[in-house]
Amino acid sequence: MVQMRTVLRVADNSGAKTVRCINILRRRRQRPSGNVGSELVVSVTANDRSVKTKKVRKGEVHRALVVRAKNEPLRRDGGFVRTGDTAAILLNADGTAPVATRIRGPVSAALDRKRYLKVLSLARVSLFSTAAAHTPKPRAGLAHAETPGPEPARPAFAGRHRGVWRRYH
Amino acid sequence: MDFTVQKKSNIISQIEKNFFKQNIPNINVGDSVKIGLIIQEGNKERTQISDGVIISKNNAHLNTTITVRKVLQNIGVEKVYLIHSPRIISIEVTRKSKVRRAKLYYLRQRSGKATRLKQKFI
Repeated sequence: MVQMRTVLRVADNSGAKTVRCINILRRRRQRPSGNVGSELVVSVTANDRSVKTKKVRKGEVHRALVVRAKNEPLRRDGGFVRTGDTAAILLNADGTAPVATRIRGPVSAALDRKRYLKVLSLARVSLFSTAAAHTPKPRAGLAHAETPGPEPARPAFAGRHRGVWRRYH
Repeated sequence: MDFTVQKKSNIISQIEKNFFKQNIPNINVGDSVKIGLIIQEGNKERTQISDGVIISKNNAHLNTTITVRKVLQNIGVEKVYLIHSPRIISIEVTRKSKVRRAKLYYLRQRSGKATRLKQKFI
């Protein structure tokens, strides 16, 4: 859960070590705090001494994308992925591309593929590749007692998804 | 399915028994496991294997979950799996450990050699 004043670690080589969240972009009443995949506005709180040529410095305001979280929301297959820290990478002013050239540590695969393809490709490890509403074919290995029937048809939502907790897959 | 007046737990058991997997290996907390998941890339299905140590097991019939912990690039990652999920096609126990706890949450504060678990030979 990322909110204003949350300090996050920086998982790239942009020159920042920690950042503090100032604002969460595209926030809605149904989702008031940020989590993996949220775009934030952050201020840099500490420099990363191990990076020689810094692209960002302490005190600057940038956009960031949360890539790991200690508490990730429930995934569609019913599982969770938790990491040891909450980390973000810095993005440019449009939020389209990352500022840095390398990403440290694993990145959640729950990031929006269309928006953040560059981020997912820079990361060396991504956690839990997705298979959204995919029901696998019945297999021989660990067989079920009986083959489960087809999923019941879900009623189509006519209006907005009020109060529906957005799930990541 | 007979939905005449019954106990709630019996109705739930009747529905759940269709989805139970019968031949899941005996897994305990402390075991090192390799879990095979089905993931979809485009139109193809692929098996992805992830491994780690089971640090907790929560028994709840169909919703039995295990938490598997692994350290990836210096970051501890825990994944919670529902073992009866159709996405999991194989669970292989690679190593059994002798642990004296039901939940190994103390491993989160430890790193490197301090996370070694005594092996149990059966």
